[in-house]
Amino acid sequence: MARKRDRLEVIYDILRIIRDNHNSIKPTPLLRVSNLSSQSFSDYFAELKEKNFVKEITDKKGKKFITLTDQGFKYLEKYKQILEFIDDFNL
Amino acid sequence: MPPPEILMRPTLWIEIGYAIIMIATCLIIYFRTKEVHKLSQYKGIKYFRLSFLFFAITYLLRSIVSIQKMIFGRLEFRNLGLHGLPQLLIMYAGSMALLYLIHSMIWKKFKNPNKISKRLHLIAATIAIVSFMFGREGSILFGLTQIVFFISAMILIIKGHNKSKKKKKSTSQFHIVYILFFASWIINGIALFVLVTVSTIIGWIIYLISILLLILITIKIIKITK
Repeated sequence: MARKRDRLEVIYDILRIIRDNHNSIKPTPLLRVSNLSSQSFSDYFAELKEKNFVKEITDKKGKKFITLTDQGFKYLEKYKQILEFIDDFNL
Repeated sequence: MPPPEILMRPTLWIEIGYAIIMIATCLIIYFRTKEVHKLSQYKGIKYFRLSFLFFAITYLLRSIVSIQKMIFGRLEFRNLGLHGLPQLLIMYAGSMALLYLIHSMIWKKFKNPNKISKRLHLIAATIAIVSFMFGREGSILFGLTQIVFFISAMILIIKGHNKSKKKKKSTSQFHIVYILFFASWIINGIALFVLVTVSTIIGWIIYLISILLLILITIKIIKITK
């Protein structure tokens, strides 16, 4: 049975997907690739927007795209450090 | 004003130096981990940080008491006046430091860890007030609660290490440093309430070991958060 991802890992996966898609992805493919239920995805997405990790941009044709902010890139950069910290101090 | 000969005593300057190093390193840990906490909003990191904030507060109060004792003479533990207030606060902050540390390792077991975190203040305040009210016997009671907290923390650290060893092939032996630091914290507490001296060689060794262990933890934090 697959292991349940924890909150930090889900956030990392969502941000990584956006970054690996040239930092621009539509909400529907992001939902599909992130492998979350739509309710979970909405909750995480709201949290990411609130924390200023991602932002929504609308192009000239009115299509919505999601991109990472500097804070989002920072999270990706620091993710391994956060995990190491949690692991070493048994947090 | 203290008599000038007191200011010439090396023990006074050892106590001041020790206080500065311990408070500064605890605050370095607190502030260095600010960013990882801000990014992750991880509760374990929050409680870990608060634990070291309380360690810093306790070291500060502890130093005030020790330095005051050196300059103005021995203080009565039973004294309920202003002189007794630092002891009461030391017991509260010291208990909070260990309780937050334990909470940082077991918070996942609770549905609402923030609610539990508020109750920790109540537990620490109760321990401090009861210990304070019973005077000498109270300081023994306080010491015993700290030993119980320390043993709980030690069990959790070892359990966590074994769990992580199962997951990963190679694990660091850092948990030993972590355990020793808290052991030195307990000995420090006993030294303050029972031995009340830094003038002995044992006192100096305890101080040196405490500084060394806390610096090792700080280096680890700096390496992780750089």
